[in-house]
Amino acid sequence: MASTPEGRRAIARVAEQVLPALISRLSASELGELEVREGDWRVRLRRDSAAAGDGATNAAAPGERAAGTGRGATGERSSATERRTGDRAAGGDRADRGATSRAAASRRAITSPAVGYFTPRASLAVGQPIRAGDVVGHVDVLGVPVDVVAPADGRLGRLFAAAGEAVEFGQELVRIDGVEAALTGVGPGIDEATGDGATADATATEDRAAENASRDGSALELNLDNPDADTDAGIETAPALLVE
Amino acid sequence: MFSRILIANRGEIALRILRACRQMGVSAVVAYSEADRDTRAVQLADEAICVGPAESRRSYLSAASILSAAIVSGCDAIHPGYGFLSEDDTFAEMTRAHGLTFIGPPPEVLERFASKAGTRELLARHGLPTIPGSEGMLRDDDHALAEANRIGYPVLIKPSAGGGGRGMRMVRSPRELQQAITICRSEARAAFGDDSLYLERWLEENRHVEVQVIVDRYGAGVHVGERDCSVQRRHQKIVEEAPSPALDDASRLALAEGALRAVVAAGYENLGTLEFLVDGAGNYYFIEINCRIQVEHPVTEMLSGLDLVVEQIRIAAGEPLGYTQADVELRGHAIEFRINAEDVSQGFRPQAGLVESYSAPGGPGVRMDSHLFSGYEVPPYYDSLLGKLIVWGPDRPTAVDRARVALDELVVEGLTTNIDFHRALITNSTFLDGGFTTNLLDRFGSAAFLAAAS
Repeated sequence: MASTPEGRRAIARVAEQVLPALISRLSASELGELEVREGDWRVRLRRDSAAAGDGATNAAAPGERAAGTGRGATGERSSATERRTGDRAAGGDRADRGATSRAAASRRAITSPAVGYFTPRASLAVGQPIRAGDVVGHVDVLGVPVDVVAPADGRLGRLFAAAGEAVEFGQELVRIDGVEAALTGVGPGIDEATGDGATADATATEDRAAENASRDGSALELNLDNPDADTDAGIETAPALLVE
Repeated sequence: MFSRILIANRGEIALRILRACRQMGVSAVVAYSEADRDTRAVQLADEAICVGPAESRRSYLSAASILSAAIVSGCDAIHPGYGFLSEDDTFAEMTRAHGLTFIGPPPEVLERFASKAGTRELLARHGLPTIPGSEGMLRDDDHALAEANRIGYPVLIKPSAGGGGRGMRMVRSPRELQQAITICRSEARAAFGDDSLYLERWLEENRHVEVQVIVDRYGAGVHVGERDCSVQRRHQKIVEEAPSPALDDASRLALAEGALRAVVAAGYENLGTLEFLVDGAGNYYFIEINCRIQVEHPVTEMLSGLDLVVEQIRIAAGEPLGYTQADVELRGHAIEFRINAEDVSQGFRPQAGLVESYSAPGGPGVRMDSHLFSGYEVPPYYDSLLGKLIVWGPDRPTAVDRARVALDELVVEGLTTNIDFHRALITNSTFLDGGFTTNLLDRFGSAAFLAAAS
């Protein structure tokens, strides 16, 4: 299936648009599990009961199935995102290029708004949900704090600069994971030069996501604008999907 | 001496300052905007730090960003180059308040010489002849009209801050004055954040001659002769040379010595350039002082053998001058050609784009100060200066011959430049005679030069 053009398109759509939207939906809802079918493919999202308490969501990384490593064992995949994040922190797992590059499609960098000394906000934890506009820290410019602001919704990823570290304008300070694909195309993605693990393939994936988003992503964007809307009603606006 | 200098500029001058730092064994950090990431200075620097986006107001002109960059990168001095923050006394004061040194005059000296009208009064008191002009800044249209009547038309409207010809207009009647003053104010406000204007009498046939001075903290100073910058387009210098073909040895000495005496007496410090207008009869009038390294400084370096950027850094670090006027020997003749990305046939409109191919000239007496390389993308955000070709010869005809060879050798492909214009200029009989004034281009027309070239 995945080798046919329709199959690849279906996977791409699930991975790049639908999944991130569903993850966000699932985090906002009281539901424990959500399953989506597109063509012959089925993706199940299950909230890890241990993590559910602090609001963090564990879900299959979008690239997992596309890379052909997962086979429906959702329990096994629940920690995939964290594991890969760990790999990246250790220098990047370039062997897993396919998965890594697709994961990059759902990441955004929070960059430094100024040159100065960086201080992250206290109590930042990897995996915590953040919204566009959230202040995640500040850069001290001659004693004047300049806010470091998240450009998109998602979950807090890795911190690239320690408290008190000198940073330059535009430097990546914090990564946001799980950014909605429909929104990913709106702003600049992760800089190839600074985003470790980002590859040319990732850019291509991101471009495609942006393309998809502009073609038929309006329904999903609508959903995101109404996070409190009923789950079923929201999903119904994306006609190709079924919720079991 | 400083241990680490932040270079707060771009283009060819960032490279020029970097070379001086290297030569002195001082490490250098290049501050750059996002648009200048792929430039020579950034590549060659010991360290480079991005200070802001392309927009210069938020990068090269942002005092807080530049200073913060200097602090976080461990610099103890900032070299501002020319333009941008180079003559900003508030920035110099901020730099000192944070325990760093501004490479240029100390803040109080910059402040004393910040107002062009104030500087004319100050140096007139110390013996320099000045051109008749308005009493202080123009308050409103009525004041401007009254002052213009008193001075006599034509008059030149000039902004108090900045330079480079922006916000400057020559007007011949009260009606033209009223129309131009609004434009000048908005241009000056946009370029310098200050729309103060004043008037100066316009000398119909004048030459622009400037004197280079170096004064240390202890009041010892030398002049390094004059430069003639009369070849201008839209009040912007395009070719500079030394010595001035318009002055004989006695008058050039009188001009330079008078300039040095006046600035030393007025308490000037560090490198400076005093600009004069010289009329057909050889009378000279002081117009303004530039408290920074100038674009055309290599002309003087070729004649004197001094490294003016090194001198500037040494003096800012508090070192004594270490030599006297008798040690300054000026030899031969030098000419600088500003190589700009501009379309001469479209009113010198600035160009941007990819430099597909670049090849610099060489040979005896030829110097090319440029940040270009094949594959460099000229960004649209800044001035159009691509580099400077400087030629030296034992006399002016030899310098012109070397210029001809060098201009023919110089290759900049991929975007429109003024190289052909320069090739044509050096065949113009008025230029070759040395009898030109600042009206040269207006009188012949830029198109005529280009036509002559093809």
